[in-house]
Amino acid sequence: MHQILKQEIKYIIGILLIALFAASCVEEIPLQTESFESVLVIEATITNETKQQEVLLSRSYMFDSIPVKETNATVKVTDDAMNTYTFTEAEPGIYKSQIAFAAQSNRNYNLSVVTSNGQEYGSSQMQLTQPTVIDNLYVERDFNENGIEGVSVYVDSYDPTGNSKYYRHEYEETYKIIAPFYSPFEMISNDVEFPILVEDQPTFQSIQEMVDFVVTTQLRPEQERICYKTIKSNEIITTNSVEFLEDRLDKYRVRFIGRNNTEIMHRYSILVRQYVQSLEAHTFYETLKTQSISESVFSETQPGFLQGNVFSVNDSNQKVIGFFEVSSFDAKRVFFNFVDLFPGEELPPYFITCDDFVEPAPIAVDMLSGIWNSSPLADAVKYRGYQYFDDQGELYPYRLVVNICGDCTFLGDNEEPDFWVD
Amino acid sequence: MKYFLCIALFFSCFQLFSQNQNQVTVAFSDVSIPEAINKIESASSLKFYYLNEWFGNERVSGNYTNQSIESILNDVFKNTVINFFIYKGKSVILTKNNVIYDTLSNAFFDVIPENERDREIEVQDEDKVVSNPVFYKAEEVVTVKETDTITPVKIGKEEKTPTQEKYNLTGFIRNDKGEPLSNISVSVQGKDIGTTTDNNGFYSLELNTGTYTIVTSSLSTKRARKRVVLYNDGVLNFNLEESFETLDEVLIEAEVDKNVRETITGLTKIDVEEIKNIPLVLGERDILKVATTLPGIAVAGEGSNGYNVRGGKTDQNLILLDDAAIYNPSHLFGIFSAINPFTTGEVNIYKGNLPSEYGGRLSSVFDISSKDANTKEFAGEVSVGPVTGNVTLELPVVKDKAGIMVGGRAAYAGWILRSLDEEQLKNSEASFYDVILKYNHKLSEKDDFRTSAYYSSDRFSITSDSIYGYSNRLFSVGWEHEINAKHDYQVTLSNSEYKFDIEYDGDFTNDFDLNYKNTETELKLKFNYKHDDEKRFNYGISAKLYGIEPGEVNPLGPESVIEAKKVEKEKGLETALFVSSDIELSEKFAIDAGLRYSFYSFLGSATQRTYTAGLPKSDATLEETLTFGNNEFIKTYGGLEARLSARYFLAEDFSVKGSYNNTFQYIHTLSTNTTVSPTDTWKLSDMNIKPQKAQQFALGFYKNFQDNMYEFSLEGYYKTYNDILDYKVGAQLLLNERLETEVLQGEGRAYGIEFLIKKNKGVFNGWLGYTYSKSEVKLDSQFAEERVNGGDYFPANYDKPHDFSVVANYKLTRRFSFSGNFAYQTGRPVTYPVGTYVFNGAEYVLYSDRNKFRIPDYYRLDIGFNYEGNHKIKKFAHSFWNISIYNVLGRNNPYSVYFVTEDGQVKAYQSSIFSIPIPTITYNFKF
Repeated sequence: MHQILKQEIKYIIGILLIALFAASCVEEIPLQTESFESVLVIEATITNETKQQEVLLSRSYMFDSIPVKETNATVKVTDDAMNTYTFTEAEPGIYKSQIAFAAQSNRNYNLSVVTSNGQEYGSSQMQLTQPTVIDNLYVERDFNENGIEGVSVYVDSYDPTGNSKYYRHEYEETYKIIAPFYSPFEMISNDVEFPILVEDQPTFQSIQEMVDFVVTTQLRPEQERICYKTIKSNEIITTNSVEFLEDRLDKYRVRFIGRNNTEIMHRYSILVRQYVQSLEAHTFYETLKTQSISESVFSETQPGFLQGNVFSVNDSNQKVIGFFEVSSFDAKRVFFNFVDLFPGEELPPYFITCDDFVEPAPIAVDMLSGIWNSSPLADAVKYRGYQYFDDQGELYPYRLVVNICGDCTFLGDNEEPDFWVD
Repeated sequence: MKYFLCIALFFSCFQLFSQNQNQVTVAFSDVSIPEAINKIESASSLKFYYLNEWFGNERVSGNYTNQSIESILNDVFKNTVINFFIYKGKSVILTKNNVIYDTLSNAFFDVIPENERDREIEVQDEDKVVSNPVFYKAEEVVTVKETDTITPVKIGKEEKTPTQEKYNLTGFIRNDKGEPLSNISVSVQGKDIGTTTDNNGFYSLELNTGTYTIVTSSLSTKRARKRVVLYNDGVLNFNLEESFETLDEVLIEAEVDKNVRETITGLTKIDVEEIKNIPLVLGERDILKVATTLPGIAVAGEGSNGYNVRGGKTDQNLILLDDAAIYNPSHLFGIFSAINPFTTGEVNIYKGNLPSEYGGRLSSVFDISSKDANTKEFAGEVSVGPVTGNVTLELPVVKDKAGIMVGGRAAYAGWILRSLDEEQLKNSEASFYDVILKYNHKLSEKDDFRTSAYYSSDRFSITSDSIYGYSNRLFSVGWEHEINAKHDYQVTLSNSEYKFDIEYDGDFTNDFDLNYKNTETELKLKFNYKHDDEKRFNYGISAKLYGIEPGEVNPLGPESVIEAKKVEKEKGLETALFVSSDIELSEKFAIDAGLRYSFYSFLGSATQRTYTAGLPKSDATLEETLTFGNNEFIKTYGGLEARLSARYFLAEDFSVKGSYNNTFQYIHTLSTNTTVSPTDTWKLSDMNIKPQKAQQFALGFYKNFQDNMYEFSLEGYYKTYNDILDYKVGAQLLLNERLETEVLQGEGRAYGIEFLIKKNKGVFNGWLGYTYSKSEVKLDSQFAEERVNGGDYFPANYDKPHDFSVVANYKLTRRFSFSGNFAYQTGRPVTYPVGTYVFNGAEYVLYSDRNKFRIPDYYRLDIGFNYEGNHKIKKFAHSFWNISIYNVLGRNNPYSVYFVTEDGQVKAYQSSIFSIPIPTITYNFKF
């Protein structure tokens, strides 16, 4: 509720400012790029799940450029039992522990990062937070705070010790995509070279021959009708149980999907990860939320540099962003079908409107010279994002549809994930 | 009119002029004196200044050949009480009774009455005067109260040897229009002699020669006292209403050396009448805006709320309108101030040494008092500008005793919004108004009563679905009683309320109504004791009750999903004992020493949280939630505040002053914004939020040049703050029940040097001010969340090192004048986004250190042209036209720089409020 209110107030103030400033002037000014600071960003969450733990390193970048990964760094996690876990770079900026390990309770962990330019960074000592499991993950058809109908994903969690209090959730949603205009056949350009002069032009007995001259229609090597798309949440979802008598999350909404969201058109699955946070980590994430790039204009919050629990060893004035978190972890998954929650109701619309078929000519002829300039059909399947649907064309023996309507692999992966249960 | 001119000249002839030995040939017989004067005028190149009414039926004759003008005039005036003074050999100024001296001692200035105009003057032989001039030493003047005026007047023609034992002092007491006032008591102070006026306003007293103080009473709101030196039979008339123009002229002279003489440092006085020529935005005369052209007083930007005084925060100013605190003295987010300039009498801004009777705010006191209503006759003033209309009326209720003043101002700004080419604003409305009502009543010679009420309201309706409004309501009542000639007291009760309200009625499910309100009620008893001229004391007690309703939000309409929420009310009581003394230890050395003991208690009913000691206050360190009953003393704070000031004259017109003072403040503004933030709220000190404290050292040099024509001051200060409120990164303040977990209390320091040179007189006048200052904050802690900028000092949001202002007026003629002002300030600091980074798959803004960068500098030039209507005294109304152009240079001064995310890109915008020259014309008239 707070969030909404804040936004409304921002909106009002925004309009007021426009009212005031319309009389005058609001102009865009160049951002002072000379003020840019390249700062190391450390994302490190070690959990009590036995796995190859991950540390992500990147750098801040200028407003108009692209993210920069920090490569060739030396990353280590040490504990007070004299264990050192060395991390190696698996992909640029992604460092994985050489061995799988799980954080243990009552042990102090430290992170150490040495970047390729020799800068050394450390972290505060962190301990594993209270392990607390997700008791229940479930979905319900209901309305969100804006009165929009949809599906909510809820978490129930309870820590009888009362030590958890601060929670952060991540989710990974996977949904089934069924291409609405799928054909088992595909059309591939024969890469015929154009232009073709009159003297070089072959003669065709039928339109089909002409079509076959420029494209090949064949069975798809694998099905491309049903795919799965997995998306990881990137919003910060934090909550706490401080205000409750017990350390309990009761029907806590992690995700809401509107009724008309294509993601839930067929079958949908969500994996929710629960991290129990320390207060410092919680404070950091809560504050980080306010600096999201999507929070805009008239932020009512105090801007400033956000200091986490990582710091530069050599130079205390050098900035570093990030948090080294040692969190207890649990995850649960839930599935549902749209038709089960909304029986007999209209499905959500597909991502785009698909019933616009096109029938490009197999060959475009220059009227004056008779030269074949190009093959609009081959170009359509090769460059313009169309593919074969059926042979019901009005002019030609084919109809083409937009790729994503005929081939789900443009949106997802046609291999069923291991966890998938139909 | 001539009379006025005469006074004016009288005061401007400080320089020495030797009298020319004009030789004149003239003849007249049996003519009235004015006729004789006319003849002399035509026979010589001289011009005479006098009042016809000074002359009765006297007839004079004479035949002079090549005689000196002095001897002719001596002859003509020999049977009258008229004296003359030849000014620059061109003008002859006639005076009644008095002699115009070539030189004036400094003591003279001390005795010039502030607003006395009818000075009865003795005719004396020039030689006698030269040999034995009688001046009235300052010490002789008994000023009981500042408003009283003592006129030292010489009565009768001094005789070398008295011829009678008793002489008659007679005179008329008249009102402003010359109508006689009957039944006025006329008495001799300290003696058992007195009488009352008859139906003609005539009185007569028998007295020995000597010095007396003649007092009239129950006549008007002001008691008149005149000091007379009686030499012979004579006339002493009283005219009890002041004329506005003469008041003006005399006022300036009377306070002419205040700059140098005043004991306390850092006092700024604004002459309300003086500001009318200064060009201002949209033609609105604005007292507080003028204040910002003086050193040490600044605003964060054009159209921003609040004043930063000497590096203090905007919540550290006690702004009093007729003794009641006004929390948001602005209209339209600060583009105009909410103080009606036409009803304002006096503005004193204390930025250095605060008088001990005031407290509760760290940086300054703006003491604004309204004019007293005219108790003589109906008067008024009307002003019409492009944005507002203003009417002030003064109505006598009980003749000479009581009057009501009512002033109202309303904006018709709606047309501006509607005329804008902005779709979103088509249905917008913006309006504001303020009204003030003041009633003053002189209950008896010893009792004065006054009461004021004030209300200001701003209301904006945007796209007709949301309304934002705020208002100030003030009320005060005061009674002043004189116990005896040395002792008096004042009782004041004031109450004020500030509130705002946001009603959002757009998207039906999110509609809400948000309210905020705070109130303040103060009762104050103050005694003034004047032991003698050198020693003055005041002491008293005050109690102030604060109430804050920090916020309440309610869903609007049945569909709204907004949850109702109400943050608990807060209540606090601040009581104080104060004493101060103003003592002149010697001719040169004076001290003003005050002490104030303030005691504050945060009162129940309330819920308070306790946190683990030594750890940052946060939900994690919450230990206990305590509940307190109504009016329970939950937490108390208090302390002794010293207000010390001293002045030493290094030379006659050159003084040095120093001061030290410390202050406590128990109420804090919550605002993370340096830009417009109509949702700023206040918070009382409680168990978790300590009072703010400040101390200030100031040292200044003050010098007047050329007979006080130039006033110069150089003042430096150093201030330290403790426990000033700041905010953690990401703090959210509105409707937050646990503010203590979002705020930080840190140290601050501010220092600066202020330079001001003022030219008070002449066709070209004005002032030039320059301030160099720094204001810094330090927030350090062992915990990262409580540390800002690594725990080092960083510039405060309003830190603007260079601040330069010039205000100038050039009088072309008495009726035409040009004016201009120029202002330059360093741009204020901002926290800048310095990059972007990805965390957890999303993009975030990387901010610089707090306030590391600055917005571009501010400068602005305004010019104005003023035309005053006819000054004829009998004319029904005085009119005044002002044509001004604001921001002539069209400088696009950044009001704020802000950052927006558009299509995933951060963009910087700079907004400015008046980026083009804004011409305006206003008309006003007075009657």
